[in-house]
Amino acid sequence: MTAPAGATAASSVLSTPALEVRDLVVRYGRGRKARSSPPAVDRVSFDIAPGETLGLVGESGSGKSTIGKAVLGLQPPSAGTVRVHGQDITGMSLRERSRRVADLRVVFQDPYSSLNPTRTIGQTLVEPLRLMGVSGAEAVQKARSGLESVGLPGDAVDRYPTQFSGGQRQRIAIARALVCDPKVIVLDEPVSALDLSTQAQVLNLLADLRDQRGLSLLFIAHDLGVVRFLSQRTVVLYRGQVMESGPADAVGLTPRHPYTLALTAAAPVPRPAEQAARRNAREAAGFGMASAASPGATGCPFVPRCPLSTDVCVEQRPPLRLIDQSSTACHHAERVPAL
Amino acid sequence: MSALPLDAAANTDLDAGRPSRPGRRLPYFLRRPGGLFGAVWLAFVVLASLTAPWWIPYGVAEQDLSNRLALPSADHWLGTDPLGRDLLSRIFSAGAEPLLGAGITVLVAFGIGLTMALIAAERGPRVERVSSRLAEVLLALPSTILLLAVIGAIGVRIFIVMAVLGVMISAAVYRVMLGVAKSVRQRLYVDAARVNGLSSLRVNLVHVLPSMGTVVAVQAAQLYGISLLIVAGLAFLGFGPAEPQPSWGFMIQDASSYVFSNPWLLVPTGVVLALTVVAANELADAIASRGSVARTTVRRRRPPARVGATATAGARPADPGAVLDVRDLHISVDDGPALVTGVSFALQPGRVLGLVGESGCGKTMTARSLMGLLPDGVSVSGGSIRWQGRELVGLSQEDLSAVRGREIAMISQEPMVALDPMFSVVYQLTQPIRRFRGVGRREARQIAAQLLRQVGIVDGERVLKSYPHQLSGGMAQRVCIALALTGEPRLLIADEPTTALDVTVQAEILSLLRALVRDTGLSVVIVSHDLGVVADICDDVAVMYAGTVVEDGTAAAVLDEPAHPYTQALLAANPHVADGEPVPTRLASIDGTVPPPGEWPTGCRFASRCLFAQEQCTQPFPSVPAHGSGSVLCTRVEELSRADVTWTSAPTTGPAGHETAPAATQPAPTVGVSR
Amino acid sequence: MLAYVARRLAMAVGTVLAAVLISFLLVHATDTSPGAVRLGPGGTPERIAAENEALGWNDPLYVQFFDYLGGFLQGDLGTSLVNGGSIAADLADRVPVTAFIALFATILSGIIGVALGVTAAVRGGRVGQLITTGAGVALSLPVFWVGIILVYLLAIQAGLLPATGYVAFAADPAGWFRSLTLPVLALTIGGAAIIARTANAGMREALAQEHIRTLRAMGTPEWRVRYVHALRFASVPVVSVLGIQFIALFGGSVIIENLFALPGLGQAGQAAAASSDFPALVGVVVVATVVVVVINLLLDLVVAVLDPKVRTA
Repeated sequence: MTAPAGATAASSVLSTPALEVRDLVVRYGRGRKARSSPPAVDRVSFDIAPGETLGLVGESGSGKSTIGKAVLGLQPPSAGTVRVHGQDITGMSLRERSRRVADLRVVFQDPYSSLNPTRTIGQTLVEPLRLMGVSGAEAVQKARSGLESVGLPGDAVDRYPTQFSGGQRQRIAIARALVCDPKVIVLDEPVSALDLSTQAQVLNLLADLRDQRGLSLLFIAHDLGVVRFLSQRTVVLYRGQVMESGPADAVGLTPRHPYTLALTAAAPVPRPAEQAARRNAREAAGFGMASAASPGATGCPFVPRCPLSTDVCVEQRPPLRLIDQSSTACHHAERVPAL
Repeated sequence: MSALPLDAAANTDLDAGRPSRPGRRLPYFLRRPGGLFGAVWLAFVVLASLTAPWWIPYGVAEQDLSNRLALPSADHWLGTDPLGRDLLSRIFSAGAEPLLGAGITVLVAFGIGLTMALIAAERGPRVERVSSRLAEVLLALPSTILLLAVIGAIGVRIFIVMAVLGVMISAAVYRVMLGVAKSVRQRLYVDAARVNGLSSLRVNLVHVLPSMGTVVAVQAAQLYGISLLIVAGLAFLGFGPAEPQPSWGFMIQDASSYVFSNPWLLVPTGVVLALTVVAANELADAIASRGSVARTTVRRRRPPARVGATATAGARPADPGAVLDVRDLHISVDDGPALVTGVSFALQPGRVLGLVGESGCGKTMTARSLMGLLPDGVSVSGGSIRWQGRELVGLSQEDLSAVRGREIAMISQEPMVALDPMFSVVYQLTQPIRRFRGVGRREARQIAAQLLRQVGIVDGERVLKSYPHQLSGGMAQRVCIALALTGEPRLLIADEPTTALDVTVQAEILSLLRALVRDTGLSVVIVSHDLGVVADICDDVAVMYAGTVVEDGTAAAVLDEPAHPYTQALLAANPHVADGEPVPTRLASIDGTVPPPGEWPTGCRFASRCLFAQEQCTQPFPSVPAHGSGSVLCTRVEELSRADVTWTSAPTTGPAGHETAPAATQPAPTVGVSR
Repeated sequence: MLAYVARRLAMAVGTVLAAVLISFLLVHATDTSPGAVRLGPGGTPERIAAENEALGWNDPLYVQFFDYLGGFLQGDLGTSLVNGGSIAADLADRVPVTAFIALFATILSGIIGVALGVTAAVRGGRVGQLITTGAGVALSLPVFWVGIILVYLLAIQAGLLPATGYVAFAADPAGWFRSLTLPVLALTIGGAAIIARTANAGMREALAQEHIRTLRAMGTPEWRVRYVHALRFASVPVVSVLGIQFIALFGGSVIIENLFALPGLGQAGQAAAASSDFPALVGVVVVATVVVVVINLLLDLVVAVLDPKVRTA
């Protein structure tokens, strides 16, 4: 099922979202200095319905990984709430979370540092199960079947991470998330460190698991193409704020925010003629340089780079509003398709 | 990312806790002579000292006044002291106290220092700031003099004094361990364990500490040596066991009075003490050597072989119009496997050539060989690189450095570390400008400002005054390009120039490179794993797989009508669909991974992963012409193109995940049938 | 930059205060008392108690501490329990001896150590192996033992230098220099070994940096790559180790002064410890800390000049 478009739109009355993030704010550091600088995540809200995959897209500094950390409890939020199946887990410690809501797990980006090199694969997979009170023998059995479900032989439990390639390690990391039978998995750039052929293998595996198990995925990535492949809905972030959100195809094909357009236009496609046309269109649109001056405290953060910006953009932060299927935070959203 | 085995060795310190291989071999640090000596000597001294009361030939106070200050003899193996007491007996009776005392210091120092470091690393900046300030104060206190104050106050209670020393040294331990603990805590498996709900104690014990094991062992061994010297020093000053009880320090103090007449007296005690400290330090060095075994010494660059003329029959003929003509290039690890074999390509002036493939395919090595900048221990082992008609293979480093910067320049993958952090941008730009163009300081600065404008930097004056850490990634890459332009080169080698950058910045940098080619007639070799980047900027492309070129030709021909199954597979695995096309529910993928150097099969190296592989693919075969001036290395290429097949594959679940590739001789599916 | 200097200054003051506090608490942990020390074995319990009362030993600790601190700020470190002399005056004569020995040894260690370490990193091979192994042994040798060996070789066998004793600078500058040569050499052997290892490691790390490859790719002359760029990169850890070295050598001079009979701070410390002369002990610790802190402050400034990240922070 697909949740209604729009990040702030109320979720369906019929079912509680698997993951619900409301007005999340994260500031790094403390004291006066931190309060005067813009927060890493600024009033971000979204829902993920059961069985749904939401892509969180943005470039470095967009706050996407910080949101992932805040959802997981690795970074305490400054404001806002995080709910899993309606249960507020914002203030819970990590131990409390794992005891009371054991269905939130994670797969990280770097397959090399996400597995402890001193522990066997079995020890790594059994660890969360033992904490959940699963008996030793049963936990090993679950670990084996977890490995098999990601396409690895069960006897890999006795081996160490160094004996596996990058793609295999990422499968193991996925198995570690799966053994606890979670309902929600946060995927933080799970394929960006992998080569193209391995990336396709892992993406296909994730798609299979999503379909077979009805998992809800929060898929964090910098690559819109990858996000579009796996997600039903996409949220585009820039400098900690939501620029646009909506169905993945709509956001990818008919952007309603100039920043989304800048992102899609900049991603090169491997077809020279098409890429030449895209490039010309992008250069004609007249985006400002990415290293342009920082935006002011009020208004839209994309102003210094935006070809559409006017005085109102500098003065007022645009609210999210629904246009077609997407909601967008742009005063001039109607003019974006003409760019 | 290169998959070179050598590069793994660069990463010394932390990948410590890696389990040793099965089998009953000695631990790695005992396989080095220093480590073996250290461990054996320490074990001997400790054992001999602790058991001294049961084996020493004479009592420590037993005087033989007729035999004073004797040299070694059958009765007294190490001689006697001024009172005729046996040195051997005294030395080993004296050993227990310093050996235990130093142990106490190490235990206390680590008990406090390591614990504090783990806490500070876990609790974050606020706790860390406080504990680090405290450590800094403790470190700045003159510890030996403070120890005198302790002795003055409580007397010579050596174990308490050594414990106090441990408290003071704990600051140094804290400082080293904090850095290590913080870097271990940044590893994602720590976060994964926390998300799993492990208690903080278990996270530290199971996931953080084991990875610090090597550093802890090294530091502890060094600290033990230092502590031994301090106990002995205190005893030398008279703050040791009272006569007639022996102590190493006081025995040396005693010997110093007889240095004019009986210098031998200095030798036995001094040597035992020094050897024990040397042993601790050698053991530390041996433990620290993990990971750097492959390069205990900096390897001298071996003079490159003159191999220019050895182009084999398979290589294509020279290309007269090309500025750069690479033929049958072989690169290998010295005394090791080949990394690149038989690579040939030619570059016309003003064109952009892309070397594309997955990591471990040899594209970066190929690019670096063009400037003679291969890593230590890797060299060109055959073939030819002709630059404007001149052979570069076999040139000395001096001759090559005349070419570098002036004729061929390079930009690298990580702009943030490619600039020297210690020097301002203006220095780093004007320095080569003055060298290349023979101009003065003032004029060089003007040229630098102009170059920055040329690479699209608007506020050049501010950037000139900056240091690299003050620049963003995109800005740093622009400065790197400006730097590469200082010598007005004719060829630019760009190794993954945009991989570390955001996609919008990547587009800007690619536009900049394209403008430079258009405006200056520069030729470019660009290394990339991203076929989109290749489509954007390259005129020609060479697709590399496992150290060889499998397909080359114009970018349009190769990308729009790929002939080699590997090229087809790479394109099919790309999740970026064309506008207007639906997103596939599953991506085509390639089973397995690129085989590492040294494990390449004969015949087609891609055969084991190829959907279309057959018996004939396991035999060697030559490349065939394709795409006009290009070529393709596939023995079935004609057959495949007649049958009009494309690379599609079933989703990879189940056995597909076994990345250990099946043997190439396996019966392959027939053409057109997708698995 | 200014903020950095202010921060270092604050740290320096904090360190001196900590030294006063720690040494003050240490001597109060004694199980004897200043009265007992002053009166010697002849003191009766009553007289000792009266003496302690007179010395203020029974006052609350904080009162004594602030009394001491007040005196310290005015340059008064109290009087010796043993000879009744002014501690400040005694130490003022002794500081230059120790400071010069430690300073000369630090500078010499720096020069020799950097030369050896850089040579080992750049040459590699046998030479590099020889230097690193030699440094590993040299830093393990007890300084007093090295000192005696040097006396044996250079003073007794070769007759080049006086074996022990101190000549005041004012009396005979050349003699002063000769009297300090052996002690400085003895300290330098271990010090240079540590610096050589740091410089070697730093230089090897520097030469493996990506920006060094950029320089080579620009055809930069090899001497410039090594001795301008790589050496500058390696200099920051070397300077911070020099600071730690100075502290260590300052401590090491206690032993060296004993061996060579030099009237320095260390000798005073040893005597005070042996006789439990509490005010003198505190004085020695505090004065030593002040010297160490001042030198480290200077080295912090050197680091700021060398490292733009520190300067521009």
